[in-house]
Amino acid sequence: MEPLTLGIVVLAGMLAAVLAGVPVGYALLAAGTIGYAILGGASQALTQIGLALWDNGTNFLFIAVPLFILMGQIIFHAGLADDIFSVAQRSLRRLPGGLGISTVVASAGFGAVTGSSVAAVATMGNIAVPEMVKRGYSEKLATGSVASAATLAILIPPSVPLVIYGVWSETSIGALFIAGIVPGLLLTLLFALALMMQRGQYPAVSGAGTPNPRPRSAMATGVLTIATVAVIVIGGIYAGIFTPTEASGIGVLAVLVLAAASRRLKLAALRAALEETVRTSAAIFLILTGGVVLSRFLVQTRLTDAVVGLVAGLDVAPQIVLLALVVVYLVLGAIMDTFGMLILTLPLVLPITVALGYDPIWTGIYLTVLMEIAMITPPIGLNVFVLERATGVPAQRIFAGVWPFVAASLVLVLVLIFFPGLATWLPNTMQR
Amino acid sequence: MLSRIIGLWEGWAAYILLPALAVLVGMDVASRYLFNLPFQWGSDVKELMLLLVVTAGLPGTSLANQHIRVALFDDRMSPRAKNAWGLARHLLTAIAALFIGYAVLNQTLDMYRYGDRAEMIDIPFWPIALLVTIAVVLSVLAELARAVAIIRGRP
Repeated sequence: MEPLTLGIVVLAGMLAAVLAGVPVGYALLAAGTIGYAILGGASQALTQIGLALWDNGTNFLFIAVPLFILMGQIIFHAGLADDIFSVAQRSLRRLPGGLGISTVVASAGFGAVTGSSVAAVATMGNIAVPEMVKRGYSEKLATGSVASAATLAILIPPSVPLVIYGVWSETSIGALFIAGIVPGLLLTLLFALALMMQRGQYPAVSGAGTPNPRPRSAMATGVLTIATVAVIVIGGIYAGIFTPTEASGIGVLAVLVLAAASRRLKLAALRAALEETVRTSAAIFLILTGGVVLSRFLVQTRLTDAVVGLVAGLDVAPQIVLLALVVVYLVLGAIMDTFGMLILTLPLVLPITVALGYDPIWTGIYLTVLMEIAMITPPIGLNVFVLERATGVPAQRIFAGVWPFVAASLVLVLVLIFFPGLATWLPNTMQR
Repeated sequence: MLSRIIGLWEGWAAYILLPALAVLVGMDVASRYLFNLPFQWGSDVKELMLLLVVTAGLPGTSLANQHIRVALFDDRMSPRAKNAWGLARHLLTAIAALFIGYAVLNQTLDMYRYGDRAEMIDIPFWPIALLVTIAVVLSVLAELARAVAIIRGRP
């Protein structure tokens, strides 16, 4: 069999296995191994698995993944996100849809200390949805806004998908983090506008009732903790004081010290955070390793070159190709989770965007926004199902509420395509 | 029995190695900035700890069925078809994990034979690779345990 044909057959087989429900990491590893075995013999295949496992598992940059996950998990289990929501609620209650906007702002704030949107949606779902529904917001708007705003966590640094992207594409993770700030803030604003425009879905009278009976000083503790950690981590990376890996360790220690000092962290919560972190990191690591094995095999079959050549040879504007990617990610997002989608597509998508003249840092941000959209659109929409589990609101009702926020995200997609500098100018100003 | 072994295996990574990794990363930065004394061996040790943390979580993730996967057709199958496919899926995953285990075992033997070591600190690689092999073998057993549970009607 010709190597190119073999590459196509192996890729198709891997997609079939993934669709059939085999864990994505194992499907990627198995496909790459079988491909290598046919191409270069069983011995080469075994060597490749061993090398990929060892090289990825001992990759210094990857240390940031478990540590950023742990940081978010500790904040989640310590209940510190409640405070940021309460303070946002007090500050923004006079605006139309103020409570909803508080949710969006609190999600963005929580995103600044966690790199996982699942942690953000589980946290904000429990805190914000009951409060919004109690205050007369429709269930559709309450859940739709929470599911959508939680996706800000993977765009606003630190972001676990951006670490994976940086490791995989050998792009500066620090620069990627800083590049996510402006698009993240813009998307926060767009989400707030999308919410305000849904007038029939929230009570007309603003500022009604007392937002939270807890004293301001108690709420200030959580907000100060989150703000301190965010400043240390993001500021340290921007100023060139820490690498992202170092920032992740410092961030974990800072959260631990501040949460313990304010007596918000119980031993059982810490145990749960540690266990969850180890399992999530293992699942991500397996996907990353499988993706590396498969993509190395695809490069050997020259399938990557063929696809890039095909797309680069198309007589269309680069923007059209980028818009076509939106459709690809919406379809993939309908059947796959963020990490699977990222690792599966990177071997082909990154060379294409680079061939079209786009910076790999820009590509990382662009793909993250596309993944955000995929996380809230049916039929899979991971965030929606996490929120369904957290609140008991049926997924169909949540899906019905996300469309205005999907539209807001698509506005950001267009802005990024036509003004790529939005993502690249801030990293260009940072100390390296 | 298997779940207890896997719990212990995951536990030492979660409660000891992971916090130690965070402390080491933080202390290395502090030592560098405060005393101008970065740990020369820091990178080697941190990288090996990372490998152990991420692989130690694999068996528990398998046993708890928490691997990232697409569940598109799960709800559309009859209970019998769902069980049959679940069984096949766990067996396929166990076979894939077995290959990985065999590959890592080969690597462990090579590391032992050639005396591979870390660069800045005298740590031989083969014991670490052996621990990774054990983690992968436990993952195989975890997938098989889930397959057996389906056969017994307790998926």
